[in-house]
Amino acid sequence: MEKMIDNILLCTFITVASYLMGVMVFQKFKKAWLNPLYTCTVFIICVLTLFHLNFTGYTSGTDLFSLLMGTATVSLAVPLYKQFALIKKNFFIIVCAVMTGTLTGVASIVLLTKVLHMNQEMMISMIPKSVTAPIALSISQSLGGIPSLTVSFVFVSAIFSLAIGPGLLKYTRIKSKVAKGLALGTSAQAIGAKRAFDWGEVEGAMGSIAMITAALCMSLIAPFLIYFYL
Amino acid sequence: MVRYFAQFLTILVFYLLGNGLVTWFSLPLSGSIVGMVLLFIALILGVCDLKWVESVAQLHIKHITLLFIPFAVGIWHFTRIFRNEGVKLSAILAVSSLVVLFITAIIAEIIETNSKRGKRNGEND
Repeated sequence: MEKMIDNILLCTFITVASYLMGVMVFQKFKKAWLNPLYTCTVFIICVLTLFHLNFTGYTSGTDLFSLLMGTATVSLAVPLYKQFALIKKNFFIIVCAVMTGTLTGVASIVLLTKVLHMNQEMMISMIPKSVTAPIALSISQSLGGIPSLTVSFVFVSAIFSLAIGPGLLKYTRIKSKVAKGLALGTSAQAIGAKRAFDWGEVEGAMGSIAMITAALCMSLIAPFLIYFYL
Repeated sequence: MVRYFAQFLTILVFYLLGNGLVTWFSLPLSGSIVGMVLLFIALILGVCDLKWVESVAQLHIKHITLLFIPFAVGIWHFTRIFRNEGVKLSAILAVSSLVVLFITAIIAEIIETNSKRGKRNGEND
């Protein structure tokens, strides 16, 4: 028991310390690829390999973070509440667009993984890929996917959406502010919402609303998927 | 400091409430999402004041990256998968992300233009 507590303290300490360093490095050089997530992950993997510590020990020592992930998800109610007036005004558009977007996302994953003969575990880990990471994690866990993979899929999809999305919207002549914000928020979550803020206040607000609505939609869809595909 | 602690406790209460409801009624949802919806409703109804949770909620969202690190480190176990199927995986993720983006945008655009046209017609009548 004592050893377990030591382990939790040690792992929490390593993670928080490396995060603080990562943030400092990021703020000093301001390069997108120096995002603390990348630098810290590489740093911790190096530390674990150098000192011959085992990875399972590290992962089991980070239970505190699972709790914080839960409270972080609850915290998302605050930005949602701040946009309440905008949500009320556009309720119908938001729900229809985000729900259809999320559903087609799930359908496309199922279809593509079947066509390319990926196994079921991969498919399940990919299904929540366009949902904000803390919620994607819990959906992946509850469906029987691999949370670590899901987190990486979430970030990879966000990067793709951000790289090609604005161009695609321009090319397809989508002009509506609401549509642009919703699209980026649904497919690229927080990073997309941030990008949408560059276009303007309405786009950005729609982006963060879409991010949370998409997460809600996905968690409502997820239980039914168990009956259909699994 | 005390204020932060109290705010964290308030959020924690909603999280535990969400978890409690999920286990109680054996809902197929995650407790944290139910907790979020409960907090949202509480804020709208004025049961919970924005001031009671705001700073800590923003702190969570600002430093959410920290919470992903343990999972990102866990990817180390799966490097083999990325080496073998990386191309396929990226292709699926790219195509699916763009489908989501495009469908969401087009549906929103269609609804918005339709409702605008509807309003204009209404004014003419």
